[in-house]
Amino acid sequence: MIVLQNVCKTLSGREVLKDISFHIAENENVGIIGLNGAGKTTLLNTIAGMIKPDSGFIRSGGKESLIEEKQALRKLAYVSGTRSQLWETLKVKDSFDNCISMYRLNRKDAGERLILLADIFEIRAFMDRTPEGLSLGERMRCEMVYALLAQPKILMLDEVMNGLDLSIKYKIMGYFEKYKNERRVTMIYTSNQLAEVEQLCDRVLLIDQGKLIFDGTMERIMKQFSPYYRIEIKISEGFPDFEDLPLEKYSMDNDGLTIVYDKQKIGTAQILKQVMEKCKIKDVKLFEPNLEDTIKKIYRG
Amino acid sequence: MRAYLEFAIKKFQDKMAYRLDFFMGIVNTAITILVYLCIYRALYGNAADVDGISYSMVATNFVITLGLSNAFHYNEMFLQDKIRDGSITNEFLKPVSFILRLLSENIGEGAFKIIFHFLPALGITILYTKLCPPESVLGLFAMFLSVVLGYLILWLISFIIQTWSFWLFSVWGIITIKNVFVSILSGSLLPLWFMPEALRGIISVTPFESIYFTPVRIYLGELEGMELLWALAVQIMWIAVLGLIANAFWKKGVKKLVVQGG
Repeated sequence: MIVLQNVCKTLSGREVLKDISFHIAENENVGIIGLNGAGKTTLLNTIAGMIKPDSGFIRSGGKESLIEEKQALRKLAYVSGTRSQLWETLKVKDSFDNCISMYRLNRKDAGERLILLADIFEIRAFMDRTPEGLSLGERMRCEMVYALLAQPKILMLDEVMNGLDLSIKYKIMGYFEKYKNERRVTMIYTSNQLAEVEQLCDRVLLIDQGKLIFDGTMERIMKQFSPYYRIEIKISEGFPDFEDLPLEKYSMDNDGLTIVYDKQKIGTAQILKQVMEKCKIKDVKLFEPNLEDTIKKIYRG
Repeated sequence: MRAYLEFAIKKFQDKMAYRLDFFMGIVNTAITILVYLCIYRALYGNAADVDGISYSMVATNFVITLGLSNAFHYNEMFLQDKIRDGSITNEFLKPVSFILRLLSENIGEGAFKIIFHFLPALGITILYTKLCPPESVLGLFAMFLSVVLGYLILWLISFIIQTWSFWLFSVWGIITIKNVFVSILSGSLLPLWFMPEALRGIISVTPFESIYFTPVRIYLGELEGMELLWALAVQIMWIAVLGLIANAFWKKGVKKLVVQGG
């Protein structure tokens, strides 16, 4: 259980958190999204107790400052691209071994869990190396295995998919989706990719310039603020007609056509059908909604 | 507990990996001891003793204090480096005490150096010069205990200064000064027997006497019975006092970092 009430924090003259209040129940999955510099990482650091708010009330797992309570820390795992849990000088597998003793895990269970996790995250090939010898993506995968090995009650994942190849990313996302549905963990996931959060989290906190501008379900974001999709079509012949379609905007140059639309009002298939009736299509590219447009919309709405 | 033991063992094994360092360590320790013994041999000339202190006593004092101080040498800039590059925050999230973890690692390193640097160098020294044999088996055990306690005192003094890097840009200078103080006031440069009475009095109320000199006196049989117990009690008292101070500085430093935002 995590509670924040009117939390404010100024770091080197910049207001990083502005009057933030929310409440995360046990075993809830929450995504925190925001652009770079929105305050996501500061927020996670504050939850972990690594940053003390200037004002406001905070409790994580009943503690004001997790880092001062070693017992409580055993229930937290925090994976971040900017910080390492692995020991820099140890082989990755020795860090795992050390994790087992530090978190006082059952050796046999943890060993079995490690075998499973090593397969899912495909890290077996480089467990004999030290973190220095790994690429960012490889290191992040090891960091995630380390975190999951500890079986935390609170799992914080800060932009962990950065640097991962797409195929392994989808595999890991799939694993986390399954993991969160078992509901034994309070998961907080930050990203600047709406699609990641949509797949993994039931609830979304949207942070912009230190302010919490939205707190609700992903469905509500999609319905209420229905982020725009964009489609780019290359046409070899003919002229489309969109007179009666509820598009947000469209533009055309030479043979390229760009259409911005709201999925709540019109489907992608319908647009394509309309285009194909009049023209020959060479190529189609679909762009998923981006965070910036959504944030703009929320401000307006 | 198991985690801390593993930290110590890991560090011990780490050190084993460096073969050259291992041999150079023995040579370094042996040369240091032999050079100082030559100086003292020259200073003693033909005299059997000076102020009632024999050459063998001085030699023994040197072998133990210089040998141990070589063995107890480790990277004292560790905390400062961690604070500078920001990786100190990685430590905050570990569910183990940072102080005990660092202590365990340094003990692992110290144990390696005692076994692989100090003991071989001691062997070389014994071939060259005659040292005082231990007074009694009990005294030898009491000395081992006292060496461990002395190490903890030395370590805590170093750690307290290391924690100042939360506030200071660099603690390198202070550490250097500290090391000079330790080598003079603990009797590793000049045995405390030869210190002026007044200075001896001052040193006896500082933790420095408890670092090397107490173990040496126990070994030589200068402390026995109640005196021995008292000397050990003083060592433990210093560990408690310095431990509290070290913990307070560490806590304050962490708090400062947490308020500042890492």
